[in-house]
Amino acid sequence: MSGRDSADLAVRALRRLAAPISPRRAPFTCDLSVDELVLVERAGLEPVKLVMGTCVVSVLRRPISRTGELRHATNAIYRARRLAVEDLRREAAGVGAHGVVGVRVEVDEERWGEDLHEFVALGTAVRSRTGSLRTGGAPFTSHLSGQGVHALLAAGYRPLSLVMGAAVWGVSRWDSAAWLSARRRRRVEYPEMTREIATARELAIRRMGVEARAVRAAGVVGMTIEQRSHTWGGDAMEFVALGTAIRSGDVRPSGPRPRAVVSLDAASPRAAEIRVDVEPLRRLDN
Amino acid sequence: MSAAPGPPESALRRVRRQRDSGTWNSDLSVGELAAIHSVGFAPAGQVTGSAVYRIAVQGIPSCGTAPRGQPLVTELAAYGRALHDVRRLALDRMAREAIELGCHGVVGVRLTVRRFDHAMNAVEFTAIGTAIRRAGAAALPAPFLSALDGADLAKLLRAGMVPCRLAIGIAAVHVHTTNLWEETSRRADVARTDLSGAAASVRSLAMGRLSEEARGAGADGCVGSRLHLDVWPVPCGIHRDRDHVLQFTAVATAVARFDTPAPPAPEPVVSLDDR
Amino acid sequence: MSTSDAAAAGLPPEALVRLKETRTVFTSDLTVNEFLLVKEAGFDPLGLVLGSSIYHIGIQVGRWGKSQELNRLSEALYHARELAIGRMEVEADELGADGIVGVRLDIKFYEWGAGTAEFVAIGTAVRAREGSYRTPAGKPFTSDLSGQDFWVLHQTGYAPVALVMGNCVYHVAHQSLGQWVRSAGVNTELPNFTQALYEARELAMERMQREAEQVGAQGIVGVQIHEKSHQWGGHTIEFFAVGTAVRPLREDHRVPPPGIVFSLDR
Repeated sequence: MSGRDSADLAVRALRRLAAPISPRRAPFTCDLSVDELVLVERAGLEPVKLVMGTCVVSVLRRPISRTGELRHATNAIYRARRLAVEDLRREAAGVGAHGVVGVRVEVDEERWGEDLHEFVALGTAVRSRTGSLRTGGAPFTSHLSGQGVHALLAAGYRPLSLVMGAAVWGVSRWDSAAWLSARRRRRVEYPEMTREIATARELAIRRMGVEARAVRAAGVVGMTIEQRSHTWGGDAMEFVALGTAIRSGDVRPSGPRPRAVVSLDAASPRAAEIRVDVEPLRRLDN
Repeated sequence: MSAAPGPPESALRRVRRQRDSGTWNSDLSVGELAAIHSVGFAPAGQVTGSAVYRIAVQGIPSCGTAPRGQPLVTELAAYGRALHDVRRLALDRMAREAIELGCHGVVGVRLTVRRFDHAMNAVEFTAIGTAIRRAGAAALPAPFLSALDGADLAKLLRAGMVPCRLAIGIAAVHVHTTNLWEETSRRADVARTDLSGAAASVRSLAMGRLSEEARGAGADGCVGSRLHLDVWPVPCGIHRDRDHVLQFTAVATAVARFDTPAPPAPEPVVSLDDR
Repeated sequence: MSTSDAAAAGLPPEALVRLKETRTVFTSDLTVNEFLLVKEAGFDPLGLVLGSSIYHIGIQVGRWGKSQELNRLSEALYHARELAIGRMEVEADELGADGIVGVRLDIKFYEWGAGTAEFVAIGTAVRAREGSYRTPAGKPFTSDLSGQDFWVLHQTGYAPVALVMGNCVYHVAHQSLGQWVRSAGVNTELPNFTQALYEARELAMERMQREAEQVGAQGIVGVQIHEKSHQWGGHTIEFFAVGTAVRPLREDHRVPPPGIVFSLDR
């Protein structure tokens, strides 16, 4: 776009604002930044609605009598997250969306009071302009950002579903004391504790993988592990693994191969930034 | 714009002086400055607007009215409206300053809240942003407002969209929880659908209002949403239960399409710079 | 690998189950861009690999007026990381990987036990579509390079060999009263501190260098030096130098000249 065309943008934009307002269909809402919006639209998706799902659950503290998984807590936390995401998906389906991007789950364990945990799933419901992402079933969900979804689709993949795995592990006071006293003041590993925590983490990731297999995914990208500790009559640790399951799409990968560049603007974020539009670039740096 | 009293004379004096002197101040970064110029606008100066309201939760229903065993969700309409109106007023005053400067829009709008005087429940809302204008273009009846910065403005324009207004959606509800629910959730891990339902209601109310404000401005969509839920317990006067008040605030920049861009495909690059 | 082998290596039985399942559906913590660039470089992600160790670090008290290395702490921290990385390597081996990219090393101090910390190493195991990229010693390579840096390294004609690290926990002497009086309130150097920090940093880097030599690398890229007091208060600092040791894939390292741009993004 030449400099002159760019400068005319202000004029064209203002003309639009000065024109009388005509009744329109419901404007879209979204949880996207401008960058994400631009890329999502370039990927052939239209944002429809910012969708949400909420689940408040009670998760009781029970004395930890035995070291191992706290099944009740795992189930409560996992189910609550699932309910929140399903609520969000239902809202998306209700507006005819084909998928939800940028899904995040926010957790609050304080404000509702003791033992009440709130899980809120938030995302942007989108519709595919060409209908190519229609699965015939429920809308897809994905925790990927607008940039991530654009990159994925351009490379010929498609997002299938947000996948999650959880494991809440408790260490009983007796075991805790026994393991600590066996090695106190000696600079060595605590192998039993290591094994317990490692087991919990592996289990959470594995359960996420099981969900991915259930939707016949090729794999999971962008996985994150959230870790929280609780003092519930003993030491408890919660692990939640979350990612987006993907599959090869029907679309052939299009577009040029990546190119290395050196930019003449800030080498360091502290230097002055002067950004000028030369050509649109999609950074692969995040 | 509202018919409420505008900015005080002193504020208008400052703004007029800025306009007449031609020297603008702003908190734009160098990059934002370049971006704004690149799409044909120029900064004119910082503009602010503020309002102090007496805000207190009112309209909490008596719990005796709840059907037996049912949670009771009541909208606190007057409270919610006050929260909305005070913000709108601050934004309108800021917009008036922009008009005085002969500007077409305000970018980087920030809304801040300050408790002015605890005892009086006085709360001050301030809106601040950088007013921009396009030389030679006719004035608009109301300047466009955007919570997004200069760089985002440039990207939006290139994508064929222009901000029109800041859409605000606010709602507050009171939820009375029954003894039964409290007992059940003390004994087992349960999904508290009473509370989830209340949270979903207040969000839905607020988002609906946000959407309505955007539609009323002739917008095609909203971008850069900022959402916030506040929850606090309130004692239930009658039973020994604990009630909650929920307040949801949503602010977004409503945008209108003016062009269908025919964008060239972006080129994927990997930067070799230090990050 | 059998469960008993795994246990001997410090992996819980759950790990083997997960790794077996990840062969059919890979899991990775690479971002979409990293995933695409790793594939672009000719590698397929196999699965997430991780290793951890919960270790008693404790405290070691230095002499108040003397700057010195607290070698027991240095060794403890080093050993704990070594255990975590080793277990991650065993998992990669189990998957038949050529190497691991994007390794993250995290330390978290727990409330459980005094002076106890958990060390976790996580990365994505990858396999080359053509050729083998295992190290000259036949082990999977490890690297903390991001997917982007991995691609660039490959373009430049190098391959990662191993994550190399060196650390040093140093106690910085407190100034004597006389020294404080002499340097009080003026823009002068505090020679104690300079000397101590210098020494500690050099030690950490030298140890890292030595590791690179041991694995027969030509150089180290992406070196980061972390300085942390962890839980010990301001006068005890760990210097931790970590980087990826590399070896050349070909003789010349000429690459097509990078384009020059003004970037528009954020």
